[in-house]
Amino acid sequence: MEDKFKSYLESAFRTIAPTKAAMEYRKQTLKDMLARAQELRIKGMTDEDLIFDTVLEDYEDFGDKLKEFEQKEIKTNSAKRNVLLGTVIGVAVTVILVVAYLLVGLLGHLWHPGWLIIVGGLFLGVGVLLGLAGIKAIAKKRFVALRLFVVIAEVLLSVFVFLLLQIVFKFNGSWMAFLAMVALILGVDTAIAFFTNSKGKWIELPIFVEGLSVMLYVILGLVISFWHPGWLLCLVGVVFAVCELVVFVALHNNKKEKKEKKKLSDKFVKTDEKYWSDWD
Amino acid sequence: MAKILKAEIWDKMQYLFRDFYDRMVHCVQIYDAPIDVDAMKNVLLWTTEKTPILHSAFRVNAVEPYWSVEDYSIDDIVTVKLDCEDLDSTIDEFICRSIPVDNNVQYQFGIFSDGKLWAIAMIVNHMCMDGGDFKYFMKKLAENYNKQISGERGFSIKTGSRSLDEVYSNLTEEEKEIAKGLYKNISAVKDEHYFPLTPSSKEDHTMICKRKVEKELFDNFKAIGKKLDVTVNDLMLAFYIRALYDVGMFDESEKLSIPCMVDLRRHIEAGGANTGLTNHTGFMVCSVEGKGETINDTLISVLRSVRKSKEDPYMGLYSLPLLKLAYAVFPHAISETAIKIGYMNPLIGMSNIGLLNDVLLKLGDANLVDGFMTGAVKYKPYMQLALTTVKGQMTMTIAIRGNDEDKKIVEGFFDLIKQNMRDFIELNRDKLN
Repeated sequence: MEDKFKSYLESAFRTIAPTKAAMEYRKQTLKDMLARAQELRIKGMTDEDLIFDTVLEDYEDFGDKLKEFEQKEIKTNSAKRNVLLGTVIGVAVTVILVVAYLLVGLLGHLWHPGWLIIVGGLFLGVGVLLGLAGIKAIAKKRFVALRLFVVIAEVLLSVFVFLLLQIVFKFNGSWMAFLAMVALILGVDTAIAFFTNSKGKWIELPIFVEGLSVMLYVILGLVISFWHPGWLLCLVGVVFAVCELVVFVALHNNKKEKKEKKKLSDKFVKTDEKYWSDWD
Repeated sequence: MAKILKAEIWDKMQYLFRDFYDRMVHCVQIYDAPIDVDAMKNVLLWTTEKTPILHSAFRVNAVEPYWSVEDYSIDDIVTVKLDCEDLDSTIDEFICRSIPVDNNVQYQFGIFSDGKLWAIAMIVNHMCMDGGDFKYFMKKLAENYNKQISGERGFSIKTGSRSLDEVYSNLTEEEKEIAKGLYKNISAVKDEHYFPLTPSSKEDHTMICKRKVEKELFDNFKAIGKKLDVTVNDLMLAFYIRALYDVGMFDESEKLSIPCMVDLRRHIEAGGANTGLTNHTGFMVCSVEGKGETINDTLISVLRSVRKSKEDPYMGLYSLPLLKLAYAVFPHAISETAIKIGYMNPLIGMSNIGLLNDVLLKLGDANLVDGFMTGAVKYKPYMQLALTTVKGQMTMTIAIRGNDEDKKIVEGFFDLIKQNMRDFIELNRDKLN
C-alpha cells in the first residue's frame, strides 16, 4: 500500500518543480494518506484496493492543490523581526525624547512647556503605529478599522495643536482646535468613504457639509459675533442634501426611462423567427 | 561544611508539584528465588556514593534552593524483612510512604520475602529522577548486583549533567534555536473534566490500586493493534478515554483532553545515557471530540490527535524556555508564585512506563516474575493511570490519596478499561486470524 501511494505521489509531484518544499509536502501527503488508510482499516474496510481507491478519492483535486502550492507566495517570517525592530526604534525614540526634554529643561530652564516634547513624541509614536495599522487595514480591505485609526490620529493631532496654541502661543481661541477637529474628522472620513467606494458615501457627504457649516457658524459667531445672519450657515447642509436628492431623483428617473425604453423596444420592435413557433 | 549541589529547574518544578502529589516514584519487582541481601546492600551503597543527589537534603529558601550532601548509613536506605506473613501487604505498607525533602537520603529500598517469593521495592523522590531514569536505575542496579555476586568489578551508573539544557543536546543548531524560542505553552491542558473521586476526608490514605491485564487479553489487543499499525499506547489511550466518559458520566459529545507523559530523552544525545539521573519528562495532549459510537471510533479520534504530536519534532519542548526564564530572572519565591499562577496541573493523566525487561532485571538466579512501576500518589481531584508491562503482562496502577469508597470507584474504573479491551477484540476479531 505504501509503495502504491509513493508511486502515485512521485508521478503527481512531477508536475511541479522538484524543490525541497515540494519534497516535504510530498512526504507529509504520504503520511496523511497512510493515516487515512489506517482509519479505513480500523473502520472495518478490508479490501486493500478499495482502501487505496477511497484514499485517492480524497485527493481528486490534488493537481489543483499542487499548482496552488507552487504558486504560493514565498514569504519570510518577517513579522517577529519587524516587531523586534519596532520595539528597538520605540525604545530609542523614547530615550531621545527624554534626553531632549532633559536638555531643554536643564539648559534652557524650560521644564514647562518642555514636557510637550514628550507628549508630542508619544502622540507621534502612536500616530506612526496607527499609520502602519492603517496600511495593513487597506491591504486587507478592512476600511472600518482604517477609518477608526484615522479618527484616533486626528483626535491626537487636535489635542496637540490645542496644547501648542494654548501653552506655547498663548492663543485665546485655542479651544477652536476642537471645533476644527469635528470638521476635520467628518471631512477626512467622507473622503475615505469616496476613496473606498463606501455604500453610505452620498449620505455622509451632506453630513460633512452640515458639520462643517455648523462649526464655521460657531467659530464666526464667537470670533466676530456673526450670529445673525450667520445662523443661515446651519442650513447649508440641508440645502446641499436637498440638491443632492434632486440630482439623485433625476438620475434615477433617467435610468428607469432608458431601461423601460429598452424593454419596450425588445418587446415591440425587435423581431426573431422563434417568436412564430416557440411554445415554451 | 556540607557539599552543595545545584537545584536544577526540574528539581524545583517537582518541588512545586508538592501541592498536587506526594513526589514519590514507586517500583516493585518480584523474583522467584532468593536475593543476596549483603550483595544488594553493597551495590546500593556504591550507587548512592556515586550519585550524591540520592543522599542530599533539599534546602528551600526564598532566593535559590539547593541540595546539601548529607551523611547516611545503609540502614537509612534499606529495610529487610524475609519472614513476611503477607508479602503484598508488606510491600504496600513500604511503598505507601513519603520521604521528606529535607531527609538525608532521597530513596528507600526494601527487600522482602515470604519464603516463596522475594521482592525488591523502592521509592524515590521524584525531584531526583523520573520514570525513565528510574527504569535505568533499576537496570543498572541489577547489572551491578550481578557483577557483585560473580565477583566482577566495573560497576557503572551515569553521573553526567542534570541540567534541563541537556534536553536539547541531540538537536541541530537550527533546531536548538527554534526549540529555545518555544515560549508558548501550547501543551497546557485546559480540560476541566475530573475523575469522580469522593471529597477529601480524614479517612483518606495513600493507596496504590493495581489491576493486571491477563497475558491473553493483552496479547490479543496488541496483535490486532499491530495489524492496524497502532501502538499499545494509542490503544490504551482509547480504552482509558472511553472508560473515563463512562465513569465520569461525561456528555458523550464533549471534548476530552488527556495529557500523556512522554520521555524527552528522545531529544537527548544517546537517549540520555550520558546525563545525570534527573527528570526529562514532558507530555503530549490527546484530545478527542467525543466518545464515539464504538471503541474503534474512539481509537480513530485518538490517532488523529496523537498524530499531530508525534509529527511535531519539538514534542514536549514547549514552554521549557519560559520555565527557564522564570527561574533565571526571579528569586525562587517569586518565580514559584509566578509559575503557580500560570501552571494548571492536569486533572487526569496517563503515563505508559512500558516494559520492565525481565532479562535485564534478573538478579543472579532469581528471575523477575512480576512487578510494576508507578508515579507519584496524587491528591484529589488529580489522578493518573500508569502502565507497566512485565513478561507480557500489563499492570495498570492508579496511585491516589483516598478512602475505601475511592478504591471501589477505581476498581470499577479498571473493570471498564478491561471491558473496552474485550470490546475492541470482539469488534476486530477477524484481524486476529
